[in-house]
Amino acid sequence: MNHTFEDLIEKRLDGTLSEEESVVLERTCREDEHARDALDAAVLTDAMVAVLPDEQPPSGLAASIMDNLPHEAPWPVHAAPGRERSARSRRSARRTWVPVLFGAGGLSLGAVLAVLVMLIWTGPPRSAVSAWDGSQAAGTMSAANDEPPSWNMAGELSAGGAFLVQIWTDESTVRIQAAGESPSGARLVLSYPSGELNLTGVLDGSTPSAGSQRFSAEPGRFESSVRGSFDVEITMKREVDAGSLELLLVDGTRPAVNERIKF
Amino acid sequence: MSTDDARDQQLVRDTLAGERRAFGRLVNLYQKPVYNAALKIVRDTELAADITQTAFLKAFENLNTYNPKYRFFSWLYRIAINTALNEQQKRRSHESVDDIDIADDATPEDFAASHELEDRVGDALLELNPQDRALILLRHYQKFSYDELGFIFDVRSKTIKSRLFTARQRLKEIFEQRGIRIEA
Repeated sequence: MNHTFEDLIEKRLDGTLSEEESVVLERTCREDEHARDALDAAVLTDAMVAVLPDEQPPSGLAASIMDNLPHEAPWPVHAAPGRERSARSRRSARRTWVPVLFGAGGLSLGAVLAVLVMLIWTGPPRSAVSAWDGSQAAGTMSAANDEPPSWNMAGELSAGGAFLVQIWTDESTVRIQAAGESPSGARLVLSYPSGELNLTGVLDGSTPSAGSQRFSAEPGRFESSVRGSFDVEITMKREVDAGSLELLLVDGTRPAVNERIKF
Repeated sequence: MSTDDARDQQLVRDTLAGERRAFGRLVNLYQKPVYNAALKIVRDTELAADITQTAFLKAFENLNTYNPKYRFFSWLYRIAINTALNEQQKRRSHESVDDIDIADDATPEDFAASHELEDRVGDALLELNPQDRALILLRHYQKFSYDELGFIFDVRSKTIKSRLFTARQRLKEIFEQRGIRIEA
């Protein structure tokens, strides 16, 4: 068995065999029984392995992975300018998370800021696994409270694909990132009663970047289709002392999770 | 470099710069294929989830040693496969081979009635040694190239070719012994 022949087998499996190479492969197999056995075994293995199903990971695995990562990077961090907060500022943010979360310090019930983020996924609902407002929700979802200041949530889309939502907050901003894969397309709907919002990222896998879009402090609504790989970041400046952030994730027409975080 | 590779390299750089969410994106992108690779090697959903979690943890802890000459997911698979094989070895040391291999005193007709083809193929793969099973799955299921497999298993690509040849022949024998065939 020479390696040229094995390369031809691999090309045959990959579907990249040229006409000329195909003739060589066929001739070799006719003349050499061992070569024919090798090709048969490769083709059979390829066909058999192809029947193995692609399993979905357990729901919440991504969130669990993120929860179990060390909170401090095990390497010296040199933040890229304008891209990320330093470890120091993250620690600072962490210190502020508890009062932020529980609404301590300057909490004014009259000044409630609600941000509604709805990710509406297209496609048929799948098995119902969680409840919301007494109704059954579609899709699978898990949420885990990370150590402050981040909050992670991961899930699967009923039409295929997956997403990860992470939320950070500190004294001045609330930042939400929604990333994932949506092969069959989905809709991203952002409703906001007030506050200055900034949306950046990739909304469509075929578009390098949707650019940055700023929202006014007036209540409004933003809606965009997403397809393929998407990675959206929403930054909201906190202009009031206290408020609440509401995250509503809808799979098909039914909500899969409804999380409210007061700050 | 493909756009996916460029994206992954950027996410690695962002993570190294302290942007934890960039690693979350990598987790989101690769949890499923890593979980599937682990599951097909160990055939245990809980253990596969543990392996996936451990692989990402190791990747995060060693991200500053990642060499961008290689594709990120090849590097991640290298960690995941080593983790899976180590776990498999640990488990084997506590179990007899009979505990892992399926008891097979049924006729081919019984098997046809009680097993779906995918289960039977999965069971047949369990008869291979874990290294060969991982190799077959990464080549035929995940479609890694010889060079990438060489990197993942830390051997020369020539060795990969030779081991693939042997593993396929062995698997073909197992399929024949078990009467497993794909209907035309």
